[in-house]
Amino acid sequence: MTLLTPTVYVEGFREALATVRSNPLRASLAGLAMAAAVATTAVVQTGLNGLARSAREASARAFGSDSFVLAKFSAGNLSRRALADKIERNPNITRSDVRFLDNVAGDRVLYAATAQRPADVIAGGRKFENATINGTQAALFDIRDVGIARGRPFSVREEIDGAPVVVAGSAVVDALFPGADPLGQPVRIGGRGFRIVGIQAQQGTAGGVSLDRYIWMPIAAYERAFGAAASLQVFAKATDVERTRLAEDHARVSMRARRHLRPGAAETFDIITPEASRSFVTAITERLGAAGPPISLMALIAAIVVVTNTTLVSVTQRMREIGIRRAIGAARANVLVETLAESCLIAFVGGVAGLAAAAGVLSLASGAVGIPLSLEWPTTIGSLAAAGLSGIVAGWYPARRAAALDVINALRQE
Amino acid sequence: MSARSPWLRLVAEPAALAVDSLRTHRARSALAIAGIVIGIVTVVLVASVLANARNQVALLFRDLGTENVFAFHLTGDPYVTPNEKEARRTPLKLSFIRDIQRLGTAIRDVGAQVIVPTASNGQVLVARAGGNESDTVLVEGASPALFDIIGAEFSRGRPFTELEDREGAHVAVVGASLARALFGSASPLGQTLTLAGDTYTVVGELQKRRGGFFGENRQDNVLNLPAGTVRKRFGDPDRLVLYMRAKPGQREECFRQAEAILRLLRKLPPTAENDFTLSTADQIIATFDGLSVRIGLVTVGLALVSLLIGAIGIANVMFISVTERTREIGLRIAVGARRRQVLVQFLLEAAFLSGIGGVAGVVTALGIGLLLTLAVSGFSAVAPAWAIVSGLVASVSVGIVAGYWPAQQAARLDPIEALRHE
Repeated sequence: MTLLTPTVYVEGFREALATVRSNPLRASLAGLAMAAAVATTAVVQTGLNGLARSAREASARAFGSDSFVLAKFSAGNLSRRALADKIERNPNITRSDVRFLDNVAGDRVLYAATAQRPADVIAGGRKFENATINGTQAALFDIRDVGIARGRPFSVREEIDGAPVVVAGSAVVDALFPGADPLGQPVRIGGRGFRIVGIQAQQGTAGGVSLDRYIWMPIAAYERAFGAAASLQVFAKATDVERTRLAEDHARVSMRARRHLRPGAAETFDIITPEASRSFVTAITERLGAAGPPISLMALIAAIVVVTNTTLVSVTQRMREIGIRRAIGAARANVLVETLAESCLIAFVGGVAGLAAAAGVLSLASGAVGIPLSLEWPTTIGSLAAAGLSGIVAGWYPARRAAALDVINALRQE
Repeated sequence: MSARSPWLRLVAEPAALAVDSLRTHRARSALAIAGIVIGIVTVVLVASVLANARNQVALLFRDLGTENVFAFHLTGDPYVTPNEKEARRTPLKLSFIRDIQRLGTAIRDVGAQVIVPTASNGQVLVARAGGNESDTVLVEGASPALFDIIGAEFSRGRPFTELEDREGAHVAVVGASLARALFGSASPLGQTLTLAGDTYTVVGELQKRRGGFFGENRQDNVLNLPAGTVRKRFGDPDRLVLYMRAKPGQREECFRQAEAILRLLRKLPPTAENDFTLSTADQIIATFDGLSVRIGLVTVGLALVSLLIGAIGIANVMFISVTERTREIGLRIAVGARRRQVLVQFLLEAAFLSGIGGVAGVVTALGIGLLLTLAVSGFSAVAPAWAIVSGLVASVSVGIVAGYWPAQQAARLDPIEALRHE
């Protein structure tokens, strides 16, 4: 019999099960140790995932998940100096730039030129201070899901006419029209009258900034109220979601062509992609969560030590038995596999129990923290794999010792 | 080991037995100890890192003077964009200095710090000297008394004079890191630097400040100009922090007076809320502690899982030990050993195991902490005394708790049954 004989494993497992059964207390304590470690690992991992996900969702809400933005500059990770150079060097993005992009793109890319500033919104003697006013194009509502709960977005016709209509964020309408139906109501923004045609559902916050303080209006209406913005932000999206990267390239190339940038010349505009803003978010979560994995790894190592110890004791106590079985024909492979199976069994069952505990803790925690937390498949499989692997690592030394046992000496043991 | 003290007799013999049993089961005991070591190392290291980070931050604020009261028109860090609600508050004024000095009987000194925006109108502040430049420089205006009030020490040169402040002289006092970035190891005194198109002569260099976030104290990167110069060059300040030093032992009174005077100066009606924030180093540290305690609880809680697992290991070994020695225990009880003695024997054995683990763990954690402190600059993981002591106490008590159940099982053994055990 060698390690290549399949029956060795079946028998080994059966023997291991019997050994574990005959010492339930010892095995379950070791399993408990492994359960605590696996539960910690799973909870930490799920917690970190949950944080990263909620940050990502917040940035997607603020940004749109497969849209991108063309702007004069993005603050990003630039040094102050490089940022200043960009602000100074890059030309403003104008309406005619956007018209050009639109013409070149045909129906492949959607663009929405957007101007933004803070202003107060007034209705019926109430004032909402510092709302974020966006003058934009009707295409925006196809580019980003602004989450209109009631009413409608403004139309292309209204955009062209600069009609005095707005889509309003939930915080704005809640403050201005408590208990009344805001749809169709007049508001004053920048000294001009507007009518609410759409209301956003509550969007929450992104990076501590409320997304419910927004007002969306046709850009021509915005310019009438506030004058033209120096430089526009252009929201954009591929009409075919599969072609997002292509659309980005298209925007980049079109803009370079319009600005007569030679090959190799630096761009005089920035394209901000969700990935760019996402990597920033992940960087923050990584820094915050850096301490989690090492700490849970320590727990796993401690649990491995406990399982090793238990298996070692088991081997020591069964020395005579192992000696007899070897004497009547059991191979070293049998003993090796059987011992490894014992530690793996303890670790794996412990791991499963740990996962169950983790699931319970997480369902309690998600209520308390307000972030949905549940075990994901990668975490589950990873934790089980970690538990199984820990079993092998833990069993290695005892198994080697059991297999290397000298038969005569073992039988001589009292 | 005579029977002089009954307590000694209760402990001495079981202790000897405990040591004996550890000796006979070396591998098993060593592994049980290793479990505790891992737990204690994790807990002590995590506690050290947290405690040091917290102390550095506390030092950062304490370094600004514990007898000082700070006033700012917003809540929070003057370098952070204000929230929407407070953005409309008007900033504090340089002229308040004189008024507060005149009216505040419990206030010894008043200084002002003006924060110059790092970017305005698309222009970004860059300090240049010779071939070097710094675009991470922070520019602040300082009234002449400020350096003394916040206890900033000069490694070279002098603070600004009243005359320089009044006349808006083009002089500068540079922080330690900034001095190194712009002038290398040479003395910056008398050298010139340019900032936003103007030339300034360096009249002083500050010593490195203590404390910081992750080893950095932003004061070390500050280019100080006289507050009067800043006002002439950059206009009336948007962000001005007043530092009021109390007369000895009168900080509370100073705080009250500062509030009353500022309300007066800002013409607040009696019912209105303060449109400024007063704080002291202790208050800021207390707020920060509220946050760090929460982070600390979570991380130390995670670290405690390792210790818990170590404890489970001890309990397991003790159960095994009790089972193996059933006959022996039965015999001892049969020939007259008291159950308490048996209980103490096993408790001691458990405490002994975990105690050794605790000592080894603390020593290991100290070593790793020292290595980390030496290897990673700006990072400190030296274990504070309380972490060492609580690590040791925790290890021993964890052993006793983990050992109690097995020890009780041993003490409750029926001698007849035990002797029958094969």
